[in-house]
Amino acid sequence: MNKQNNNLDEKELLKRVEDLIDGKTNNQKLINSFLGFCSRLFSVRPKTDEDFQLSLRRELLKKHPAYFEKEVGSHSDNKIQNLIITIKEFMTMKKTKRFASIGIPATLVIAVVMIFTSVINPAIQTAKAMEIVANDPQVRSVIEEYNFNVQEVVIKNDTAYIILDTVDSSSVIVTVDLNNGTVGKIVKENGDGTKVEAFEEKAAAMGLTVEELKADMIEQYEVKAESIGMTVEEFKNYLIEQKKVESEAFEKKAGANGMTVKEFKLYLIKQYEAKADSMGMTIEEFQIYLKEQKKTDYEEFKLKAEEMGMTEAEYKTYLENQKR
Amino acid sequence: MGKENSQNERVLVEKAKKDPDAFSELYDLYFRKIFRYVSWRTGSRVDAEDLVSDIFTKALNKINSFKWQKGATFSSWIFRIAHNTIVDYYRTKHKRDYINIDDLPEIEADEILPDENLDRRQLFKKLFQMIQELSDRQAEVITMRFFTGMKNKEIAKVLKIEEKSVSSSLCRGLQTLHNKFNKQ
Repeated sequence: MNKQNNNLDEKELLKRVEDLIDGKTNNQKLINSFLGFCSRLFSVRPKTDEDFQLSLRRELLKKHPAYFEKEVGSHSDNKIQNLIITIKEFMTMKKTKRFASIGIPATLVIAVVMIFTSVINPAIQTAKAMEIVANDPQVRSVIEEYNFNVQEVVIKNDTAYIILDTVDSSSVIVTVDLNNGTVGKIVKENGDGTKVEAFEEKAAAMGLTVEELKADMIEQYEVKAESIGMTVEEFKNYLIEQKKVESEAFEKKAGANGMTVKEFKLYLIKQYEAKADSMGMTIEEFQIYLKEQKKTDYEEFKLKAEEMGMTEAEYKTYLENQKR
Repeated sequence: MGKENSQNERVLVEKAKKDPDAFSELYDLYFRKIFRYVSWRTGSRVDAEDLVSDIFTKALNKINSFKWQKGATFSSWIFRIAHNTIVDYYRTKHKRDYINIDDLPEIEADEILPDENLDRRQLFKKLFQMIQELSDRQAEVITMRFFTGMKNKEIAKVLKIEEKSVSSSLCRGLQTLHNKFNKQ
């Protein structure tokens, strides 16, 4: 080898390279520049694109012979065959049996209608209410303030009551008008049964009136909008657009993985649970841990922006440009 | 690969012949390794994605003909397909003189710092150009040994050469790369 390595023979050096690749070494790479170079080369690992991985997997699975048999063969042919058998059976039935066979499907249709009105329709309304709430900055602020979780959603005469609860046995009820798509009262129910408007409590704690608090929140919203060079209206639209993009990206990801959005959500929840489990935490502990991490990251981001003499928005743009 | 892992993989491969889910598992096991190897051999993210797609399609089409023979592993089988695909690729395409930075693959990192990411891609570009100047065998051996997790014995099987040749190609190739890297 070259002069720098004259203290090591070729065989020994190669063994060290092998150890380095197999992860059996940590400090040896510092011994000479050759191992240092190998270590550097080893660290340059091309990153895989997750979306590409998922979409290719989906394409491949569709080409798998067993998938083809399962999906195409069994579906169309079997469906036609089953239908022919059913018609034949029906024609050979006695009259009473025929009536019975019509009566059962009719009952099923009624049951489906009842399920729609009692289960599916409320589910749609619940989803609508959750969307309205998720887009409301005031509710968001309350949820973040008290670390709430959604406990129950009750639908009554085009009004949704979203019940949020905390670990300290207090709960907040958010009223949503489903016709207008607006958030109404936000009431906090304490553990002792007393009720208070959530903003009243927060305002009192801050030494403000409810009106002052609301004005303060709107101001914060305006400051945030201004910090990224937008008007409040633009900022609002931007948030809505972001939400749309996020949900579209999610749908796309679910599709690429050959799943419906619901299936994909369940899959992610399972992964989330597994991650929490692997770290020896309960879901709640894991959530707190992630929240703390997010806070720390944000603090670091703020600090870095300050160090560089930039606003957060400027620093964000700077990072994005650097990435490009 | 340990004895137990090898046995598990054997079961998985047999299952994958009939079951799409098992194939999917196998795909996840090898996707990253194949992608890294192909990225290093092509230096282009777009071409790497095309070739990775080809490689797995070939593997899927041929998986029923894969048989466990003495010393043969699924890893050496799929990397043989990957190697042949790369050989075909360079039959129709000249080695790159010009490398488009936008088409370079992203490089893995623990920290997500964009400026460092740019540096890493520049480093990849520099190293890729130097690897391109090595002999085909040296380039193959280095990328396989460094980025696929294969041992020299397996690489020898993929490239159908002696294990000793793998070691010497690795050593000489690295030495040349190191010298070039120091000169720049």
